[in-house]
Amino acid sequence: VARCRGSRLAARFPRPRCAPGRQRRGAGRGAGAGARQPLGRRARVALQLRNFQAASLGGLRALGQVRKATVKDIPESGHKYYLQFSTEDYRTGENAGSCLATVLYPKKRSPPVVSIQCSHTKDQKEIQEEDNRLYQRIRHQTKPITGNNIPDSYGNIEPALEPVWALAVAGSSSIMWEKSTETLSYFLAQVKSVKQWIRKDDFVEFDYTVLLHEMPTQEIISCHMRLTWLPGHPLKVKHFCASESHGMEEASGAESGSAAGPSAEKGANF
Amino acid sequence: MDPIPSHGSHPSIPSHPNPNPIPIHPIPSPIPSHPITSIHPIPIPPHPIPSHPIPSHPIPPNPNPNPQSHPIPSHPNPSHPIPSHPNPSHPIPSIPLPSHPIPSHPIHPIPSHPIPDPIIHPHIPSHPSHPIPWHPIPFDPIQFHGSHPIPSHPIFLPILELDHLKPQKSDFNLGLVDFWRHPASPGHPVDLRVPFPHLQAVKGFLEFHRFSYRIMIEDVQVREKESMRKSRRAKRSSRTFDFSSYHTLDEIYSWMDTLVEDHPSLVTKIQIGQSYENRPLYVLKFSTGGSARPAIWLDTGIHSREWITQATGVWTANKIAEEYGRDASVTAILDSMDIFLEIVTNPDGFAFTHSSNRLWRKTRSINAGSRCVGVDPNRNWDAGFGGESWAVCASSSSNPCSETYHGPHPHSEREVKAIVDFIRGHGGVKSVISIHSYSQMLLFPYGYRMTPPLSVVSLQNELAKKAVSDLAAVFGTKYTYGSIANTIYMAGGTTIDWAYDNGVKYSFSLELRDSGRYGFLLPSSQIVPTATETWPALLDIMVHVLEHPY
Repeated sequence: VARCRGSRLAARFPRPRCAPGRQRRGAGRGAGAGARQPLGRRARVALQLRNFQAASLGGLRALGQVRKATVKDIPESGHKYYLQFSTEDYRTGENAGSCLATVLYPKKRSPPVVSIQCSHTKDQKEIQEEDNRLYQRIRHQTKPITGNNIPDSYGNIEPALEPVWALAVAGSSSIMWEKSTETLSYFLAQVKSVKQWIRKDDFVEFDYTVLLHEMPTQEIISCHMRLTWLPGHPLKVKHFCASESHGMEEASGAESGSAAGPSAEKGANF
Repeated sequence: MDPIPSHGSHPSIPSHPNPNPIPIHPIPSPIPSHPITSIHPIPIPPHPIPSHPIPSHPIPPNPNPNPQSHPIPSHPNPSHPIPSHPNPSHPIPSIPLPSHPIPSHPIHPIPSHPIPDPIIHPHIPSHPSHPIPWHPIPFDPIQFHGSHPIPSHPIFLPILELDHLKPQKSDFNLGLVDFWRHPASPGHPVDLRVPFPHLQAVKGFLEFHRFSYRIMIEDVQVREKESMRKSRRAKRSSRTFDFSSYHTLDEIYSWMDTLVEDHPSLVTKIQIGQSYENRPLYVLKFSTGGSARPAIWLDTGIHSREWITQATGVWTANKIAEEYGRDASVTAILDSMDIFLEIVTNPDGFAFTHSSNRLWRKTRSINAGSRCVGVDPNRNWDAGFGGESWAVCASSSSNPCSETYHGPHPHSEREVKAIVDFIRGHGGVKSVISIHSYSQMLLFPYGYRMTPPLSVVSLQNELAKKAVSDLAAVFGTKYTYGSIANTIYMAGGTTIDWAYDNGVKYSFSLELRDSGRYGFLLPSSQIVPTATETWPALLDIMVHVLEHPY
C-alpha cells in the first residue's frame, strides 16, 4: 500500500488519493495524478459542455488561456473550480471571447456539474449563417457522406469533410464532458469513420467512430456515436465507448442535452 | 511576471496561431497556506504574461548577437509554413483546395512595374469574386512590363485588398488565395498560390491595379508530385529534403546519411544499439573534435505517434549543421561541446504508426503472458520506476495492455537500455532534452515526486522561463513550464528523472504543439513553424549549459 506523502504544495491543492492496488486503466487513474491536472483541463471540460449544448458548428470554441482560477472544497459534494479563460474559434484560431465557468467534480462518479457563460466576438447572426452554410453543404450531397481517418495521419482534413468533422467535434464534446472526472480528461484524437444516414425530415444523421485521447492514462478510447442535427436545434447524441487496450470495459451514454443518465462505466475513480 | 518585450509589427500580416491575449490582472503570487477547506487561489502555472496586448505578429527580437541566427518569419500563420530556405523548387506542403484537386498557379506580383493597358478592363470590379469577362491568357511564365505611370498611391489600397484575398487562418482553406509571402510593405514582392478557379479573377485584379506579376510555378500539384518522387530517389542533398512533410523511417534514415555526407567534418552517425525488432538505433553526433568533451543529448520520437517530434528532430539536426560557423551561439557550443541527437528513438513504434496504427505510442516488444504488445519507453527508466512505496502515486501501469505500461523491470526495453548505456559510458553528458508532443510545455524533474528538490526549482525554473519566453517570441505560441508532477501529471520511470538522478543537472522535457485541437495528428504545415519556434528554446538551454559547466 503506498503511503500518500503530503507536501506543502499538496496542502494547497486537493489532496491526492492513492489507490495503487486498484489498477484498471493504468495506475494513473485513482492516483495523485488526478487532482494534479493542469488547469486547462478544468476549463476544457466546461468548454466541452458548452460546445455540445450550443449545438453550433460555426460557434465551436477551443480553449485559449486560463486567466484566473480558484478551487473550493464543498463538503459532502466535491471540488468546485471557478475559472476565467479566453477562447478561440475552433476552426480559425481567432479570438472568440472569454468565459467564466464553474466546474464541480462530484465525489461520486458522474459527469462534472458545469455552469458557463461566455462573451462572444462573433455575431450570433454570423454564426447562424455559418451553421446554415455548413448544414446546406451536408444536405446537398447527392449520396450519403462517408469518410475515414479525419484528420488523416498527416493532419489533413478534406474540405468536403470539414462540416462532418465539425459535427464530430460538437457531438464528441458531449461524450468527453460526460466521461470527465477530476482525474480524467479527454481530447478528440481522430474521427476513425463516419457514415451518413439519409433521413426524410430535415435533420442530418451520422454514425461515427471517434477516437478519444484520455489523460493522464494516455489511452485511446474508441467510441461509437450516433448523432442528429438541425441548425437551431439541440444536438442529439447517443454513444457507446469501448477501451481498445482493455477490450472488455465498456460504457454507454445517454442522449441529447440532458445530464441525466448515469454512465454505466465500470471502475472506481478514486 | 516579466512583460514580453514589444516588437514592431507588420501591419498586414495575417492572424497568428494564438489570439491577442486579453490584458489581465496580475496573478496573485504568494499562496496563503490555508487548510484545504477554504477558498484559495490556484497559481496558474507560470508562463510569460504580457502587461499589454501583444501585437498580433511579434517579430523575434533576435537576442542572438549574430543576426543570422533567428529566421525572421514572413508569415507566422501555422497553416503557412516558412520555407527554411528560399529555394523556389522547395516542395510545397499541400493546403486543402476548394472542392476538387486542381492545379494552382503561384503568382509573383511586383508592384513597382506597371502593366500594359490592353490587358486591363477598366470596368472590372475590384472584388475578385465577381465573374470577369476575360481573354484567354497563356499559362507560360510571363512577365509584364509597360509604360504606364504608377498611380500616386497604388500600394496601400491594393495591399488592403490583397488582405481580403487572404484565407481565414486555418487549414480549412476556403479563401481565395494562399499567401506564401505576405504583403508587408510597399515595394516588396508578394508570393501567392492561386487555386485554379480563381486564377482569372486574381490576374484581373492584379492587372486592374497595375501590379506586374510573374508566374513562377505553373502547377504546384505537379511540382509537388515530382518533388515527392524525387525525394524518394537515392541521393539528394540534405538541404533540399522536404522538412515540411512527414517522412517514413527509411526516408529519415537515408536523409541522415546525406547530412553526414554534406557535413563530413561536423556530423557522424553512430549506432548505439538495436530495437526489439532489430532495427538500428542511430544517433547523430555533432562534434568539431577534441576528446572527452562535455555533451548535450537530445532525443525525439520516443513515443512513436508524436510525429511532430521526429520531424522537428530532422529540422533541428539540419539547423545545427547549417548554423555551425554562421551562428555565434551554435559555433561556441560546438567548439567546446558535442551534441548527440537521436531522431527516431523508437523506430519499431514509428514503423508501426506508418504501417498499422497511427496512434501507437509504445515500443513493440512482446510481453510474456499477454496478448498486448509494447512498453511505454517513458516509464521504463530506473527513477521512481512503477511508483515505489515511498513515492506519491505515480502514473505508470503494471498492466501490459496499458499505454503507460512500465515494463517488467527498469531498462527492459532495448531502446531505453541503449541510451542508458551510451550516457553512462560517455560519462560527460551535461544535459538531456527529451522531446514529446502534445501540450506545449517545458518540463523539468521530477515526475515521480511531487516536490522538486529546492536546487532544481530555482535553477530549472529560471531557465525554463527564459526558454518559453523566447519560444513565444517567434509566433506567439504559449507554453507552460514547471516540474512534470506539478505541470502535467505524476509519472514514474521517465527519461529526465533518470538523467537528473544520474548526474545530468540540465534535464528537460518538451511537449511540442499543439494544445489539443489536432493533438498527435498535427498538420504537416505546422512542422517548420514548430521547429522554428522551438529552436530558440533549445538554444537557450544549450547556451546555458555551455556557460555553466559542472
